[in-house]
Amino acid sequence: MLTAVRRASLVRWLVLYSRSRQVGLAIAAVLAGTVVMSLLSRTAGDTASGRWAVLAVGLGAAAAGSGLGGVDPALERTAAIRWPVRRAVHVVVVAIVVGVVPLAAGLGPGSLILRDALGLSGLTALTATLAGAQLAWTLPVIWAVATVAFPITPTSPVLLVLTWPAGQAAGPAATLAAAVLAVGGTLTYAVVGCRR
Amino acid sequence: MTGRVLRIELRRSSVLVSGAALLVIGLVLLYGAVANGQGEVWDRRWVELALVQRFALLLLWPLALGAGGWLARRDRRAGMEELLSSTSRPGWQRRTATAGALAIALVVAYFLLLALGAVRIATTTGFDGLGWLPIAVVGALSVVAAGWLGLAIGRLVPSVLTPPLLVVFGLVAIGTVTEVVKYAQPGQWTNAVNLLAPTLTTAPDDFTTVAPNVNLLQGLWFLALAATGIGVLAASRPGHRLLAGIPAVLGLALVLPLLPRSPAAVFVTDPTATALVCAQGSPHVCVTRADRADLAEVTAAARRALPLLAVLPDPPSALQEIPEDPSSIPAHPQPTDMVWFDSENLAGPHDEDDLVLRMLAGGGTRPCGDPIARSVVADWLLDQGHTPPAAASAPEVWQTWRQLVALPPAEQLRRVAAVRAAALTCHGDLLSTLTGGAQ
Repeated sequence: MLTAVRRASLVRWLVLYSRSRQVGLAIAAVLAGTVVMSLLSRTAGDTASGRWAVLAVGLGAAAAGSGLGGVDPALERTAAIRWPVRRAVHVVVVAIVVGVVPLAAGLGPGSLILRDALGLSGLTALTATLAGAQLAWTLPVIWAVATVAFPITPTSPVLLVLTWPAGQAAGPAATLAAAVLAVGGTLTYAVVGCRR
Repeated sequence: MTGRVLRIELRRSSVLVSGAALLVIGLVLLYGAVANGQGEVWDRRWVELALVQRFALLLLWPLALGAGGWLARRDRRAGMEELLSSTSRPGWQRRTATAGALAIALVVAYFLLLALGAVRIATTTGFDGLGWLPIAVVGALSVVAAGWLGLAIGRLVPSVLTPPLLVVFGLVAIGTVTEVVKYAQPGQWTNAVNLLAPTLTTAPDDFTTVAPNVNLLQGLWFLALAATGIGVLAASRPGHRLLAGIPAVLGLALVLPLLPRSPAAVFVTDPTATALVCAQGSPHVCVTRADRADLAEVTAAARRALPLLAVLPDPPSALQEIPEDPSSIPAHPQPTDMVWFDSENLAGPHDEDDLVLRMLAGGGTRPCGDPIARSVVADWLLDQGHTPPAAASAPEVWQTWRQLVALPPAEQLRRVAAVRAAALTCHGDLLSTLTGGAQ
């Protein structure tokens, strides 16, 4: 009986939380973005380079970014809820959704999509912490778009790290950069929360 | 009144941050290329800097679009739309003031980026004239058009997702326009579509610039786009918004048929880059303005190379750099009294010994005919056949060398002089001239 009540309240919380975070809009954007990118990649006859996947993942993370904060963060803080855990779970779910959808669509190499989904989601969370949910899209989108626009072959270690989301930058430096952003971004966002 | 509003908009809105972001990202691109060893793409000529900045628009143009989209949602974010619509001042006045502030910030950011890139050029080559200005003005116009189109789209679709969508699909739009054309043949109209994008591919070599009519037509096109953007932004009725689309449609209809349909017509020779800069004193050594940073090194090498050529009949007494242009080679025979030094020889890392050898190639002639014969002649002239070629030379060079030095000295000289004579007019087979047709 008790568990049924708890389950019901959890479901109710999830519904309310999803609504307040515009989850429906974000999922629609991820799906639509992936469909458009896979159409474009088929037209261009290019799924091997993974650049369309980078764009789809970046767009997905950006779309989810606006949902990393509610309408009134100050009010939410006053609730006796363990927010850090929920915030961390939110970012992890974003990373999974943003990665799995382009992966299912076969937009590019699986390892690239997973790496970018984790890294760009972490970056989105970090941007939300620094600049607020409304601007959470900026860094992931700019980073993804920049590496797709200029597919250079990096020679210096700094550039090797800076171009981490790019399709051609498969290597330990890119993976490490993505991992640092994923873990660091998620933890920072979980502890500090969205900027008010 | 307008000035006051503009000042407040500049100070208190997001436009300064957007402009600063554009500038910083542009700097990362410019100096990132330098850090990646590709600095010579832009750091030797102002025209090349302006062109590389246009190439950087592949990223900066979508960002300006997104900046406009973000600014357009300001009233809604602040929950002020109803309040503002109740004021007596017409909405278009407020909105165009915001658009003006955005344009100022974007243009300042664009030219500041150019200035910060020019700092690097100034240290290597100095000032070059104003040939870069039209290219940069068209780029700045295109950025303003992007900002205003972003404002217009953001006003039509005031969603939280509009700015990121504008950035991503701005890039996709430019990429689509420029990539479709890769498969076009010269003369097809799709080549002109390429020029509707703000990005220009960099010049094919150091001596070309954008044709004036291309600058003019592109400028017109981006003016038309900007007019449509601000028209849609200012219009308060759906009918007026439709009317605001007219400039873009008209601009497209006017510009597209007039834009050149062959890539060769987009870039023309830049007279300021090909003008000659000569060294003081004797021998007479001239390089192009574009390569004037190399004049001292070229002169030093020429002082060593010209005496070595004196063993030949009718030896050259001067050296001049010629811009690479393969199409002009058969038309103009090289004068006997002058070494023509191909500008390609100055690209990439080299030292004075390399330059001397390259000046001697083919007996001081431009690249024309068999490279092995030219290289063997250069090696022979260095020491009249007493020192063998470099150990790393190709086997064919060694073989030809041995054939040459096996001959009597007078015959060696005669053959080398014959190669030079053939290469001056660019006629005949240099290798069989050198080996006596034995191969």
